[in-house]
Amino acid sequence: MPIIETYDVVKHFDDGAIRALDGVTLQVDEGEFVAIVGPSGSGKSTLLNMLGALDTPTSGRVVIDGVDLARERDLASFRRRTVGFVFQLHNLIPTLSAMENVQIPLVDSGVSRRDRVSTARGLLERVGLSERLDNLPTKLSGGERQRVAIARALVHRPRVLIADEPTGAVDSENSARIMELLREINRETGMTLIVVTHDAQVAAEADRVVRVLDGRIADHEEAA
Amino acid sequence: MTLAELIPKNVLRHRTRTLLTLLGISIGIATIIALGAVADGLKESFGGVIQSGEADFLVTQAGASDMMISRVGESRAQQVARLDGVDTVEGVGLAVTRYENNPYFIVLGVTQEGMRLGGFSVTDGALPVRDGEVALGKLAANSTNKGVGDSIELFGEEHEVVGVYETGEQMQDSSATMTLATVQRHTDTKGSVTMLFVDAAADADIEELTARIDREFAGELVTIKNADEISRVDQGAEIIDAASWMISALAIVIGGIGVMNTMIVSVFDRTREIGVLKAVGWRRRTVLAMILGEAVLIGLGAVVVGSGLAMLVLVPLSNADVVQSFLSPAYSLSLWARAGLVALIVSVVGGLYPAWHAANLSPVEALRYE
Repeated sequence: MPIIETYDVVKHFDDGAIRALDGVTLQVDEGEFVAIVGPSGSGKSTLLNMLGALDTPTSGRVVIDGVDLARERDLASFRRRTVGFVFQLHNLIPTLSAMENVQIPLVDSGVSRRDRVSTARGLLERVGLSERLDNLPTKLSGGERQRVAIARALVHRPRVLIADEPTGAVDSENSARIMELLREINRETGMTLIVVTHDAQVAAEADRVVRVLDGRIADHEEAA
Repeated sequence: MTLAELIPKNVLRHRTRTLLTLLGISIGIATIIALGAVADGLKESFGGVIQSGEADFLVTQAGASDMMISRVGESRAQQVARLDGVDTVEGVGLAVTRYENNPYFIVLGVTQEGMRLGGFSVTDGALPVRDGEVALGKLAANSTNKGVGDSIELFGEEHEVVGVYETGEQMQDSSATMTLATVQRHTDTKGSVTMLFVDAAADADIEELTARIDREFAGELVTIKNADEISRVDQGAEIIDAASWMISALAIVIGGIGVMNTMIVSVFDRTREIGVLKAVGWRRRTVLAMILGEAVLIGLGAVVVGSGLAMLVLVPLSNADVVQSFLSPAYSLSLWARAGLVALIVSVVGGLYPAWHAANLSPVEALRYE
């Protein structure tokens, strides 16, 4: 059952001078782990922005969890309910502890303090940082910071987790640990995982690899 | 993590920048509080002149911009005394002379009956009855270190201190009192006084009586029933008030620019971070509330620091002999409310554009920002 569907999505920038996506039609099934690969400038990040409801297409349709984004007036709230993001750079707030950073998506959400704290604590324990709850990002390693970012992305139990080069800024050992964590979460919870990556090893772990070239889907490759 | 917890943490991220902005606003706030306290103190002082004794109201010269230059002739005083509803009228002469380092030492010239109407209560010795005698207000006795039996030089002549009195009001208790004739001699104002203390008849309607006097002597005399009407004869407090309002307006403009500058730099510094907040589901209004909240917190901090700065100025000022003659700074809830309101306006004016800008950042572009 598809959780994400795009129909002939086109995205222009600079009044059409840049055609970042040129008619992308894609389906992602619920619970699937999809890797999106392609050279720099191929449109992978733009496609990711569409799939994560960060941006809307110039033309075409994007439907996520049954919601046509063209009809969704409050994309921020939609993202809060449906999508989690992990960025290449962790983008943690430097003056907040790991616990506080994880709770950031829950600010002004109506969730009680007790629930916010217990959810954040549980997620940090899940990503192996139970001893680091009160550490500031400056007191965490690169891999630990990225795991805090993953916990933050999961805090409101999204249907889809979008990761843009999640291992791009960490060493190989941490890269493997992070991907293992994401894969476990994907399998355990059935949460759909979409990863943009240049890393062939990361792509090899996916259920399906989608290649993007010149703003189009060049091909799909199912896992062996 | 709530917005209320996040906002102070964000404000403290760049302490130097925050502190400098806060100081800039707090100087304006301090000036507003200081001038407001002085203006209110001046009004209270003058108001005390009316309220301290048994006089129901004062009568002074119409059109005089300063109480000190008001002149009411004896004939007018007699005309007022003959009016229906008036029981007693006593003239009071107000003069200023130098005493040691204080060029504004106030001396009141009062008749015996005027001293009763003015609420002069003797605490030591007696009130003056002849030329060359002087009584000191309680505060004046302390500041001059003079008591009964001492000699004090005023108007270039030695006077014998015959008593110490108390009225409970700053201005009078910081002054000296002589007979009216003595003050008239020193100031060459024989036949006129500064103001009249008027005691109305028991069954008189004060409002009607004062309105009648204002009408019958329009252009020559004016009545003052309470501190709020002091501006009819003395614009000192009004001028200070006007200055205070102008400074409030300046503080809003200058402080607002300072806050806007700080907040816009802060937003630019955090563009990527704001992109992440929007990516994880923060709505526009939450981003707006966060940035505006940070600006307001700086404003509130400025009220605290500004209040401290104002006290640093006002406390030594109010102990200065010159100031003590006239007033004691008056602190009221409305004064702090006004300072708080100015700080709030500064914060909102300064923070609104940066908050709007942050709230409307495209998450995609913000995430790309380097």
